[in-house]
Amino acid sequence: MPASSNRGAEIYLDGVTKRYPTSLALDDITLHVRAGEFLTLLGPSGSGKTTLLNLIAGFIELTAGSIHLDGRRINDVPVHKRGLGIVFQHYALFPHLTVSDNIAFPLTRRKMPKEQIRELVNAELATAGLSGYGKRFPRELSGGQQQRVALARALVFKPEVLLLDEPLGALDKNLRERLQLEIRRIHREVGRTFVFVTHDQEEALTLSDRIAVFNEGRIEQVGTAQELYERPVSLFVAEFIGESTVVPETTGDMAWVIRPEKAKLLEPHSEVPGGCLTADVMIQQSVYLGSGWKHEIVLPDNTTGVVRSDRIPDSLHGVNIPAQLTWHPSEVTRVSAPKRT
Amino acid sequence: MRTSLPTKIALWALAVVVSAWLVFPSIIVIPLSFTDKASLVFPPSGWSPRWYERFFSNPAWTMALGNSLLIGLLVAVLATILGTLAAFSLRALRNRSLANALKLGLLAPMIMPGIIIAIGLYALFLKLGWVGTLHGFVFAHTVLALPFTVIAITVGLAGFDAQLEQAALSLGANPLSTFFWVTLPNVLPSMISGALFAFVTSFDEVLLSLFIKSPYLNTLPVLMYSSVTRNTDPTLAAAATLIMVITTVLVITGLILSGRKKHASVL
Repeated sequence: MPASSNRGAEIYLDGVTKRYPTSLALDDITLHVRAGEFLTLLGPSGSGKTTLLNLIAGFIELTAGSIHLDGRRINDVPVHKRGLGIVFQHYALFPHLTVSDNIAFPLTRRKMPKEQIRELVNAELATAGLSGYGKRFPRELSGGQQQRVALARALVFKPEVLLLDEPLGALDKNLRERLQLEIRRIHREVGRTFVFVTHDQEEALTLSDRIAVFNEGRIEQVGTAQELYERPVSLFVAEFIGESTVVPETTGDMAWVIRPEKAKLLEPHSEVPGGCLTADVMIQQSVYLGSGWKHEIVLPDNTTGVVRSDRIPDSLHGVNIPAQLTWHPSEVTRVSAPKRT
Repeated sequence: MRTSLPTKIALWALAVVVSAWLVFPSIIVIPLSFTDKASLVFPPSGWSPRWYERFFSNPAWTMALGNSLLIGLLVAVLATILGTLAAFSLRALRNRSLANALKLGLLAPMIMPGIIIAIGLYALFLKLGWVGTLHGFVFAHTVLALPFTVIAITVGLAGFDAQLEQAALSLGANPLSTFFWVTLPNVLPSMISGALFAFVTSFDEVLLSLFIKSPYLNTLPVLMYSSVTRNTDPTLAAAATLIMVITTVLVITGLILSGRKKHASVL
């Protein structure tokens, strides 16, 4: 059982592979989750992020590779001895137990004295803003309240690692945003390692110290939100996180990934600033957003893009106006992009 | 769409007629059991509790009732234990087509004509010397009751969120405590409802019992059947009323329990 030190554990995943009879769910994943960090596994559904979480939790077995928790190999350690806290998308609260008994469950299993359990449970209820709800049953609580109870239950035994599997996926937008801030605050206060699964890029950007982007059973890139946004290593990452315009180079299999605020729109055939590259585009429409303009553009290959600007020449106002897109190579990234068919 | 008044009246009338048709033959034994005449004439001309007095003062009837209750209880316990094991194993089986085949086998006694099971069991029991024994009755009735417990518990398990077990494990409960503290409490209502149906199946079983009874071991329905062929005194109606009350109460309890389980799983 993990001691209740005031830091999280680090997790080393080395060559982690999960093969099912008909598919390869995870393909040779190597990832280091640092002690105490908030790492998000981000990707579309079926990309392997939940499979990886289930492997760390111990719900499924590895096909190959190893998982180390603070230097201890846990491949063959059963779930109940891993001592990790887990928060599920649909809360997984025990319907036959009261809120208090749900939170007390991990402590009862650890044979803690009754008096101490009561104190810890009450403290958790207070933190979750649910004092006075202890005697209710989970079905008598709203979705947000149930997820708060689930969080309390997963944290009350002070696990060094908390795994969260799309915990906000079943909640409406307002509540989701409130709970995001709450999870962020809890992470700061308890200082444990959080591994968070989501398919929502905004949620990942809001919460994480670092984000691992998953695609088809592999990790495309691991980095801070800023690194992923400014220096995406692949087209997939560029398109999954934030908006961008992708301009293929005329020769070769590379393309420029241009973020909306890194591009400028000029009148056709006007002079281009030194060192900048250009492409002919068509401005489909421009929308005024108060803080500036947002222009939707179409490239010659019929892909679409977005440009943000403070203001543009009057001659470019309107619908379906030809223009020049320009950018400076040092401000954007170049990624491998096989020609689309 | 609104239903017009004449249609409404016609539909209600039809519903009342069909209900009466279904229930009347059973209900009629109640007044018959309180008749003051020594024959099963309907409607009775006067009222008397004497047939209940006769039922409870005749050792043949009370012994048969005692046997039926004892056998029913043992069948309920045995069928529930076996049904629980079967339902959990079926859920755990990776090979779904094998699981479905096994399930069909478990439910076979419900589809198989009773007379075939009766003849088969009789031949088997003659060989084993189980005819007219308590364990013979319990074994035979369990064959018929098992499908009911398997169905009830399978339905209960289907409404049970397996993620609760994952949650319990992650919170430090070993697989055995997870079963006793999380799985079992959530499946208990369907186990109880399965047990009630098992008891009722045994309690009103006639066909198999006719084959495997002996002069020394009789159940209540068997004694009723043999007494109706000899004489038709209203003690029979009193016995029938007792069986009806007991089974009705148990079946309704079972339905409420299984209904509540379904409701809970939706929430």
